Amino acid sequence: MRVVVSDGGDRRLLGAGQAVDLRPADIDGEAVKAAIRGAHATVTVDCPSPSRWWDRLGSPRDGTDPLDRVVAAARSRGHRPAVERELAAAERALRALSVDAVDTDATRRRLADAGTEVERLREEVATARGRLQSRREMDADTADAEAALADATRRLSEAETEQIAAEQAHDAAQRRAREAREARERRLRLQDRVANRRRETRRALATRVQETFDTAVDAVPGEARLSTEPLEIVGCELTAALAAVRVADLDAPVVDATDRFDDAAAAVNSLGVPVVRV
Amino acid sequence: MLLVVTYSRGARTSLRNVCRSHDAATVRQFGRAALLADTEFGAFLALRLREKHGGDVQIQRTQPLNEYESVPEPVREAAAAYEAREQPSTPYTKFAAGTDHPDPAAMQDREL
Repeated sequence: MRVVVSDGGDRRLLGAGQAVDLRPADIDGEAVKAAIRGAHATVTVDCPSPSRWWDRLGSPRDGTDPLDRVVAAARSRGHRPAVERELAAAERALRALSVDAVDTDATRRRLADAGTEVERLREEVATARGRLQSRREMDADTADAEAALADATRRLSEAETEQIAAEQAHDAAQRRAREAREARERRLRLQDRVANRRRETRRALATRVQETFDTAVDAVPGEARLSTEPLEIVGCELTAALAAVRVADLDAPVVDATDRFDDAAAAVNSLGVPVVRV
Repeated sequence: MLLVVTYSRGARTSLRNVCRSHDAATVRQFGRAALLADTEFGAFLALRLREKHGGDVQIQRTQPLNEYESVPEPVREAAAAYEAREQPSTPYTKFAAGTDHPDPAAMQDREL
């Protein structure tokens, strides 16, 4: 590998070979990672392009879950557990599934409003009827009271019609929502299946490299162990991250900011990949 | 009571959290569904879930069934008689044929 920084028209070689120490050049890890991906403005790292597993393995101190690293390491070695095919099928089915909206908010509100209006108009009709009655008993003029009662009765009848329409609309919306929920029901089952298959896949991959991992730990500084029951890393996470690098099959260099090795050459020796020390 | 049914992993997790934190408002919890108390607080919890998860949360209002009030006597009698049948393998349709017990298709068409 060759690490070059260009400054205007100037190109300066910062290091070459399997082990490059960039500490004197004061270039940080993020810049180097970007350069390895070929996405840095001034720094260029001339190296094989990183595989998809490098993201999780390429910098042993970036907070990636140590178990994710072990799983990625197993994948980089080409391990493909049988359950992965089921996982892919479940993921495909989940992607293909579309769910319709099940919202009945509008019809619920319309129905509630219609009910309130009918209640209100019933009271208004009763009041108008009472007023007309008392005017008759007093032998007073009833023309206005009769008109008021007729008007209220007419509005009540309209409101009742609206209430029936609202009920029908709400029933239809509820039926549609019930049918649409079938798809959501299927989606939930698929989501569960994907999660289970994913767990099984991770477990299968980690188990596959368990021995290799435990051997790799002996070759890197610190202590760690891969437990399968429950599935977890016991011990130092940084050690586990380094061991995962050693287990993995990586082409692109690892960006080492761990301070666990005396120098970059020692890191190359221990990890079995080119190392950029930052 | 308020029956809350969830239709996604996220909604199911939220429902479980709500039930765990609000024991008093949770009448029963069954996996991805729960019965919440028929109180303003129960409704508040249920509506919060729907606000957060939209169509992945279904809310129904339930009430206990009083069969003496809402279920016709022939239906109640048929249920009791069928559960007391002598041949456990007899399907209900066959059991009801030629008796006064209601026909299952007819029962399906009649709402309570």
